[in-house]
Amino acid sequence: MSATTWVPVIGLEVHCQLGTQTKLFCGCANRFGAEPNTLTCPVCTGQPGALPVLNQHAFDLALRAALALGCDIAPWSKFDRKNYFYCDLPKGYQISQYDRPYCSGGGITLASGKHVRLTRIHMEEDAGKAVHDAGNTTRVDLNRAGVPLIESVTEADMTSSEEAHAYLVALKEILQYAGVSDCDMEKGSLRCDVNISVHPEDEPWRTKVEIKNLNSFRNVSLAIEHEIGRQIAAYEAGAAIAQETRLFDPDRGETRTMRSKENEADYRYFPEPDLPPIPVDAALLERERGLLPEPAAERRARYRTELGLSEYDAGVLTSERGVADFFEAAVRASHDGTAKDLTNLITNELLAGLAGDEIEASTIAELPCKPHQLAELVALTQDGTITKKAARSVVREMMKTGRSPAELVRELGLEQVQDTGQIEAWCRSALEAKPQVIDAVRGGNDKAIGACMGAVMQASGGSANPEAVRDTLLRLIRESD
Amino acid sequence: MEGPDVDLVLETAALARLEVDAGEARTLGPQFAAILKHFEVLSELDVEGVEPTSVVSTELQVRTDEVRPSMPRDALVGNAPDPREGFYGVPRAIPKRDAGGQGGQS
Ligand SMILES: [Zn+2]
Repeated sequence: MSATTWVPVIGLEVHCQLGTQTKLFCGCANRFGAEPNTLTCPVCTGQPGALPVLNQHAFDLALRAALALGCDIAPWSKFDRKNYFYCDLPKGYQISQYDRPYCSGGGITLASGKHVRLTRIHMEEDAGKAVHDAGNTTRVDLNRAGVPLIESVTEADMTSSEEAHAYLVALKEILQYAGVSDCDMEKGSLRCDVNISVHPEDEPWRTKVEIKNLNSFRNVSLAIEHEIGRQIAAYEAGAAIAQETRLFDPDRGETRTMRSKENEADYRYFPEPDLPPIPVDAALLERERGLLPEPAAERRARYRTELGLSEYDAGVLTSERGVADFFEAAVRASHDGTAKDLTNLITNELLAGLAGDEIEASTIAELPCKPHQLAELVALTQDGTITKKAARSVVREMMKTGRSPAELVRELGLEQVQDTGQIEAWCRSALEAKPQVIDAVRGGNDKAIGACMGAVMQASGGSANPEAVRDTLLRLIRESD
Repeated sequence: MEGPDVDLVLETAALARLEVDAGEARTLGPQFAAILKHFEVLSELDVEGVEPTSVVSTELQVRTDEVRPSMPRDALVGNAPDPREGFYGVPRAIPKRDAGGQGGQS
């Protein structure tokens, strides 16, 4: 029996909430977690006669997303009404963009080298939230109704759950770096639908199925894996796959058919008569282009080639834009050749501290200590004022208080003892206590000096400069001939 | 006068969530046709050289991204037929077996 090679075909539709202060068409706050229905007004609850007014910043952020993803910006676009009835949609239509989206094309090249093309991105308003009680009632909260979204749609360019996952990770990174959205899936800022079909190699594509309700990257992977298996099993059993929308059930790890009512696809789009077309002028485009940060992938490459960091370090530093910005500000305030020391302090101390319970701040930017202070601290290790070990104790204090490193070094008594007389006295008593070290070193065993160095460092409370101690010990051994 | 067929009337009614039976659909079909016919009068207008438009104003008004006070919850939810602890209570929107989920489209 020859096994068929099945090829999955996967496309993604990602909804992303824009990081504005207010909603898309009214001044209600765009904020997660408020008491139900406390962030609503006549516009976002769809009261008769209320008129939408476009939030300019929402459009600016949408443009920035398009620029960061290499899309072609349309010289003008328009809004349309997408009509459907559901209890979370107070107007009976969603203001969206149909045949004139604000941009098209673009895409993301994944770390594997695979390029995933974007078909388009359009703007639209979010719907409210419906919570289905155990009884016969559904409760509706309209705080989310009218929150600005961009929906990006890819071509069906992906062939595995790993590729889909890599695409989502890259998309999230780009949108976060561009300051478009916090992309927090737990708050619903990023939501994903999957289109998927399978076909035997060398055969045309088959019927595609849409999966909704995917609220984590892990669930996207699980749903794709499950759906590939379900479709292959159906075809191999001689059954057909229906074109339909399915819901992923995270508890059971499987997909199931959505109610047919929700499958309704006749949205009867027509132009939104309350909103004139939106033009894009060159000045706005240039301004947004200027605000685009260097993408994470390019920063990673630069940290390796220009600063000599490892792939691992570059990855940790660019995992969040705030961390990368902090690091770069510290590098700019430092002498050349300190990138690795700065990296160690950031990744081993600052990020570890942020992950722990003792520090109140939740992002590196909120820490009381600033990049230039980290640069000062590293400078103190470079000129021999303190050891690298002492620097770690200092930075732990700095991140709690934001006090200057020089001040903390003095206060904690961490300055290395440069006083040669004092160091020589410690070295003499260490050699007297361990005369066998002198013979061993004379006999060619340089490592034996370690025993005396340990004793001196202990006597100095760790403040003696190790190089000075070593040099002094060797000189005393030579002189004792 | 020929009207839209019964199926089209029923489909349109279903999309508008209106209860229409087949008998009513047969009556409504020709009435739809008459209304649509009336709109054809508009096509007689000479619009040569006139830009098509779908909006009242062509000047886009925008606003800055500044929070304005929302409405007091009671002023809105309080006027709904079934306010429930700050939520709008509505008849159950999905069948019971899907309990616990969060519905909606976007
Ligand atoms: Zn509002």
